[in-house]
Amino acid sequence: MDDLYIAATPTSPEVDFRFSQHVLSLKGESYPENAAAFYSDVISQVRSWLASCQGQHIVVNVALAYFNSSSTKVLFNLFDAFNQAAMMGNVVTLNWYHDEEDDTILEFGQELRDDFGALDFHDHALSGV
Amino acid sequence: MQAQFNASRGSLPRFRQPSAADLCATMTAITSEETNQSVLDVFNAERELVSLPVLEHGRPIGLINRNIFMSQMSKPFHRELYGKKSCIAFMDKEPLIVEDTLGIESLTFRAVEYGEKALADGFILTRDGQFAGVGHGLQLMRVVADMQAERNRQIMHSIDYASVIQRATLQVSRSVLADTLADASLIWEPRDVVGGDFYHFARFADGWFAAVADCTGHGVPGAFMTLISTSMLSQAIERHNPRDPAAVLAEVSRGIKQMLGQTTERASETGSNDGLDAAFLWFDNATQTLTFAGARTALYVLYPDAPQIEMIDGDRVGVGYLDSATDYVWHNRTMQLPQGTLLFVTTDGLIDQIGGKKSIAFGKRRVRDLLLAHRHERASYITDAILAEFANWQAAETRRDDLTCLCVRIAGTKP
Repeated sequence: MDDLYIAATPTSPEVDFRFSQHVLSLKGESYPENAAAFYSDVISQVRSWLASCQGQHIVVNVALAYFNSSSTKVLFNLFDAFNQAAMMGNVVTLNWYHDEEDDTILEFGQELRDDFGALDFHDHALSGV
Repeated sequence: MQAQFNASRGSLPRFRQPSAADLCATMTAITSEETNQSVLDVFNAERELVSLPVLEHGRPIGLINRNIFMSQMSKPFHRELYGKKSCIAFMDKEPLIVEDTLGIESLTFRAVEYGEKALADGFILTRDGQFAGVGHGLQLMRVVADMQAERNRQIMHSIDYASVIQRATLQVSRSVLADTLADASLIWEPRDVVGGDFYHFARFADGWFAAVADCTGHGVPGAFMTLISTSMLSQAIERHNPRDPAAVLAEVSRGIKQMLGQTTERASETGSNDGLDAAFLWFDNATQTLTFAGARTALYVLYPDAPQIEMIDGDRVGVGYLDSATDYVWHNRTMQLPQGTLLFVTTDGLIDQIGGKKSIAFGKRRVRDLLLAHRHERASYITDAILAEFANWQAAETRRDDLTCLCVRIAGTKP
């Protein structure tokens, strides 16, 4: 399966999904006018790739400073897919990055950790800008 | 004698898509049999002419650029050498040629792909392959800019009108709030003229009901959601008991799911997964008891002598969404509020706004600090202070979302 790369825009994140290396990264902000349209292809590619993963170690890196409510819905679907892959015998590490002073993103990460118990969740508080 | 009224509507302006034909600036052309001397005569006679198309049996075969032609002909002996020769010597054999029915947008893309030449020399227009004129890059830009401005104007007028309707739906609640509570303040700021946030306030003989909500989306889709949600909410309050906000949340949720086909059976048909986050409040005057039910929205409570704000989280289930169970039961939290207690509810547009030195979210802590710092001021002073700090935080960043917040001090109701 080909790697997926979508460059960041001011309203959508950089999507750098290196399926070949089992490393999927999201970085930036997410408030596209139509989140479902932006993410539908991303999610379907992730789902079909995950379907082929057996006993793999998958690393997911997320550094998002802002996402609107419709993006949140889509992101939950994405993490749900990772969680299911983890329950199917893969190890999925979720590295959750946020600024050390950003309680909002920290709390969202905690919600993900609570909701998706199969994920190997790691919180990373970044200092400085 | 009465003037004759001409009832014919034939000469009135009609809407039509502009096309390349509108850009026809000049019809001057020359045939391939003619000489460079003739070209020189044409350029000398028509000082404004930038380029001259060359035709063969009425079809364009090239375009002679004035500056290139003139600099060639001014070289020593060139006039003597080339003057009597065919004018195709100095013409560009591959100018941009388009049918004049081509839409302006397609023409713009063609011209940009073609490069600087098409914008500087112009482009040849044809009708059924026959020469029809020459258009210029500058004129093309003017038409594109006009079209852009016109589209923008139409969209903004449409949204401005939508805004009048949306504000009208909110005005009653604002008036009732002002007439009911002695010390309360309400902020409603859509990000883009119209928005996905709304509020609702209703007065009853024994108390009041308030709602602050954030629907999915902002702008026009968000505003659609607020209209659906407000009408669901009004119905739910009428039919059910406003004294049970959790039940009202459930009723609104069922209504939205039904209206948008967001039930598990119909999910694949509509492709819709929309809803709202909300805080619903009921306050009983006699007992000074507040009942709060929240869907992913928190209530901030500051008791008169408390050192800290108490945060009362809502349930972590949104209203109406596809993945919110049809039979989900939200929870009421009840609290007795002494005179002077401060209540605050906000949508995430306040909390999540990116700003500050590090470009991170405004956060709940800043809101709590501001409420504490100004706890003895009037509610309107407090919301002004929050907005001022918020504007300072946002600075040059763009607004990310709609913003609504309600601040109420328990200080009795007006007669």
